[in-house]
Amino acid sequence: MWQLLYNRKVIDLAVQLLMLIVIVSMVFYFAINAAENMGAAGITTGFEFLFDKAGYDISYSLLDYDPRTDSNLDAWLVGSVNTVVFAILAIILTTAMSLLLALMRLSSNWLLSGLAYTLVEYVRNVPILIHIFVWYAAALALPSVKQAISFGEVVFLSNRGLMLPSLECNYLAWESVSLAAMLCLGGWLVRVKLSSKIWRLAAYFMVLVAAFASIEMISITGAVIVYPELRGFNFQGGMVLPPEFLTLLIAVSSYSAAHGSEVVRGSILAVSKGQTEAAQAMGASTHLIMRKVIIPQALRSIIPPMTSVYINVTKAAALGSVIGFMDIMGTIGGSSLNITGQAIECIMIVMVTYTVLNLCLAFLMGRLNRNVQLKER
Amino acid sequence: MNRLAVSLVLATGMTVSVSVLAMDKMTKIHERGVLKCGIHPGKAGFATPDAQGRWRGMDVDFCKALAAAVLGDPEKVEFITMSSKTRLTALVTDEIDVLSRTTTFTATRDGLNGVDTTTPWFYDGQAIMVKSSIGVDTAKGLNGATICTYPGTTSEKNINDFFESHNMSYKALIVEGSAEAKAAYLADRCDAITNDASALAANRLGMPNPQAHIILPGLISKEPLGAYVKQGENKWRQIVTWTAMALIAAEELGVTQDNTEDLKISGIPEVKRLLGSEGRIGENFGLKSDWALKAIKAVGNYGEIFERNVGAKTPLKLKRGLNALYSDGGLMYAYPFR
Repeated sequence: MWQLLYNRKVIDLAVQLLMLIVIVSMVFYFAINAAENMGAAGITTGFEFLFDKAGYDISYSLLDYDPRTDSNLDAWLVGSVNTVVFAILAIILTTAMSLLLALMRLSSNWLLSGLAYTLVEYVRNVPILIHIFVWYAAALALPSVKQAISFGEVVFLSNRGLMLPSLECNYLAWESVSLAAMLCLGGWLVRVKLSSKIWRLAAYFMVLVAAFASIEMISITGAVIVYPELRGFNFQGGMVLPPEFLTLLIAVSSYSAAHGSEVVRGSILAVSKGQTEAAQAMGASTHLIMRKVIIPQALRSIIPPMTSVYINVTKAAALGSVIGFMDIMGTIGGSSLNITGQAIECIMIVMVTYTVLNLCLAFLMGRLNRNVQLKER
Repeated sequence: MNRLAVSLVLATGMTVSVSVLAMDKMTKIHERGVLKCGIHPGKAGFATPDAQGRWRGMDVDFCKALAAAVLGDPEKVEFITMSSKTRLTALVTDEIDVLSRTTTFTATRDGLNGVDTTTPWFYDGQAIMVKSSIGVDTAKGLNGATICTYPGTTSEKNINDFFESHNMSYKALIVEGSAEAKAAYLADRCDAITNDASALAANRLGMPNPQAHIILPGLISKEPLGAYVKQGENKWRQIVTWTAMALIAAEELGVTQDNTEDLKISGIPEVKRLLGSEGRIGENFGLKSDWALKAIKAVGNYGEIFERNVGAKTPLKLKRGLNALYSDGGLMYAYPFR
């Protein structure tokens, strides 16, 4: 019995258990305290408001959203999709620009490295909000909608955004989804290279059917390209990329790229010089050395710090509400909160959503990290 | 999971008041010796710092009148600026005693948020402003337009209600930064901008060429603005309500900032009751008998407050309109002092 107390494992477990109890009871204490105080203050709590009509418009929505019918929950969904789409595009841009800036900075060409140095130092030393304001002012300085710059009467650029033609097919949503699923399944079957000939034939057949079906459906329902056209106050038809979205995308990814490029540069410099020299001794070209020797080794130390750069990019979507790009913070954490007055619930939803999104991101980056780590066999 | 738990703890911890002591609001204010008044961080005519850094405006004057009535000194006010998101919570958590921040009285707020309305201090309504160059002279001509909305609370809902009830389409651009909203409107990013009429008049003043913008006739919403107090503090609510009433009654009865001392002796009975030389109105509220006299002496009657802050001689040049006395066709009407 006494020996148990001296057992390392038991002690560790007990400490962890104690910690867990402390944390759980603290959460409970705060929750109960909050509920009691709000009850005493006469504040109505609960999440019923999520199903009430939202009653406000969202300037940029990738889903169908109609303020006449849709609920606060729909507004949250629209905001979340905006956040995710923004995050994906901004992360891709950040990565590309980080790499470019880092390689420029490491270049032996004085002009390139000097330019990269100046850019990085300027951009990362100015607060991100200022970047957003500057870029937004630039976007607003574009010609107004009546004097939009036309690119062959197909694409228009004005301070209401970039108007692009869109492809409108009368697909039902489920039809497109099932087609996409069939294509994916077919592709997967081909990829796993099933030994059985029959399975492989089935896979090819499926892809073929899906391809035919989609062509057939387009020709039956008639897909049309809709060009944006100036009617009344604004362009009608086509697709719009609003200036708020573009502004935020450019401001956030350039700011993050300045930080990211230093991560990349540091990691590249950390790869032992002997590696380069060895590759050179084998007659490899500079390009080949970079691609096959240095970058793969640098990735090991790039990915962990880059993960936090990416997480910051995702969270920066919230800054969009200052200029009218509504992500989760602008929808459920902004207008819904203002209208319903359910501050604690709304902010909690915002925090949970950001946390979940960023945990997903961290999880994906963690897997990527494991793939590039040195594998000891 | 741990991160989630920590976030939850922080969330609840930060937003919830630690204790709700059942102590009378009046006792608390007297002990503290200063009134804590929640105001707008900067709205011309309602709450804005002057060149010496002193707060000026209709809402500010109301706080001063209240401090004069309760503590006997209009300067015993601590002005605390409130964002539109935190204002009601601040009241519930006792961070402020009274919220005098152009806040609309609505059923939802009264019912849900643990706060109570008092009496309207300024009747406003939401309006739409456009550039005169776009050739629209009524809000119904705005079908398909893009509307910029200032950081507000009820404005995005009102504009949606308006377009929905007239079966018109629109696109909203809800911009949290007020400078950005103005810039977006001026750059033609949106065709129109919407806000309370009084605020639009103030916004227009700050634009390069104020004559180039017209505020479309007709209001799309009712916005009775006034002071809020915490729910359940009945005594305090009565005092806030009746201080506003006293200032309106003063205008009805011809009591001004300068003639209070004279009228206290020579006025008609109702004036004497208002100014405390007759009856026990102040004592009944738990105040001194000259509470209303102190308030009127500090900031003047309602008409004087209006003219000084937003009236014809100020840059805002607002007409009395709905805020005229009922006898002049407005809605300002004080309950009798007897």
